[in-house]
Amino acid sequence: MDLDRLSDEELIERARGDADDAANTANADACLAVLYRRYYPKVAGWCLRISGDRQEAADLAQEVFLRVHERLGGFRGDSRFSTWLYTVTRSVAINRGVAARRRQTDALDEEGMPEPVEPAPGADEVVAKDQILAAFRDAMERDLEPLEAKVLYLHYVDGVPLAGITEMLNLQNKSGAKAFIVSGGRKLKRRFGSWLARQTAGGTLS
Amino acid sequence: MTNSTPRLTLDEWLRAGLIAAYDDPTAGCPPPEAWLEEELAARTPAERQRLDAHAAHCPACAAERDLARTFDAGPEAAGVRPEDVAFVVSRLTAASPVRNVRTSEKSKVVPFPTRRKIESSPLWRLAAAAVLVLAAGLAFQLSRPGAPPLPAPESGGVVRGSEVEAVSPLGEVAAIPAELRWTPRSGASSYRVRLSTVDDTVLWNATVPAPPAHLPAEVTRSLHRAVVYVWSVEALGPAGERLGASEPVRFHARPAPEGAGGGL
Repeated sequence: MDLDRLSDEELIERARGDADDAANTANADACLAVLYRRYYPKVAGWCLRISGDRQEAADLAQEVFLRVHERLGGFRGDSRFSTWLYTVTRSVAINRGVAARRRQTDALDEEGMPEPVEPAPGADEVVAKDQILAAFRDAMERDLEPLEAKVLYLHYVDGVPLAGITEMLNLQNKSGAKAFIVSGGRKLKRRFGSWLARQTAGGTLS
Repeated sequence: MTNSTPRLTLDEWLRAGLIAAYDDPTAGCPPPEAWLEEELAARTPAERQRLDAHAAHCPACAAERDLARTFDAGPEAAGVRPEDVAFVVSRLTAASPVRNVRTSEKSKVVPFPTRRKIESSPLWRLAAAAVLVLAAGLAFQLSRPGAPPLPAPESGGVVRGSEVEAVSPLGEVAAIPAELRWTPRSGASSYRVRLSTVDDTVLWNATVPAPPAHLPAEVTRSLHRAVVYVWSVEALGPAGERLGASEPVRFHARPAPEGAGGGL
């Protein structure tokens, strides 16, 4: 049987059947070996792109496949294997904090960083959280360029380091993603920060 | 937000704000994997249009769409260097959770984790609890600055390749090795040995009449503790023909204790 001809799902099904028979665990592993090798380059490329560093990418990709192997027994085939693999890869990358650690070194320097935001005393007593969040979303859409907003999200929520964002989005400006972080942060600070200060000072929100 | 709320840097403020603003089930954001090409292809044109319109004003979905597209694109289209992909793939192959990716030895294969076993075994729950504790420790380690430690390679034993068995060094060893040992193969007249780094940069190769192969002093001096190296051996016949070879074997010397001066 040429395992390379089998689909992802067929390999998993076959591995699952063989794994139930103690004498056939080697067959099960052969199926999984083919399956994993099929996706090594794709996962490697994604990890390289978002980490911007090959050692980090290698560590991340290694953790992805360890996690896949641990969890594959629970894969029920409700989605394609490739889709499931992506959810695991993305989840490992974010949870691992590829970027959380790298962000330490990527953090905005003093020159590009506006003053810290200091909430007004007792702000939570007068400003409803949902109103703030709605206003924040509005500010993101109204005041920021779509690219600025996207770069902010990739960096601060998905944890992609600046170098990774610069390469992934093919940013050609001199300072890459950092420029968008700085400009987006300034706009939000200026517009939304001012709005928040006015509302809390005036007590117009409830 | 209260009086006791610490001052937030812009970084902290943005992160908290973005997560709160876009982690909203009423915002109509699809799951991140919905942006994969195959998943989009399974939707109707009208649904795809609706998703694109949503992403046009939702930075969260625009970001997730880019991440998914990067995954779909594969390494060639993603624009990463082929040698970097080869490096990562070689690490994955060497550290594969499926043992027979790199060896045919059947006694060490990792059993496939079936759903039935996971659900039914109380032992699994105990193991899972232990793994969670370990994972928590690992996560803590990973969250600290600095490079995470590589998983320790297997230590001890013999690596049985298809034809020649590498004996030592294997896995973690106490000191930088002075020689490479393997089990002689019947009919072999000589052996060609090769020592390299994990990215396949050759550090030393030589042909010797029999095991062991003594590493030259200049080679041992160039090796470092806690760095993984790879070696392999080929058995050669009387005419220099290749009779067989070992699997590539990884080893590293245990890091020097604190205060030991960091030497070899």
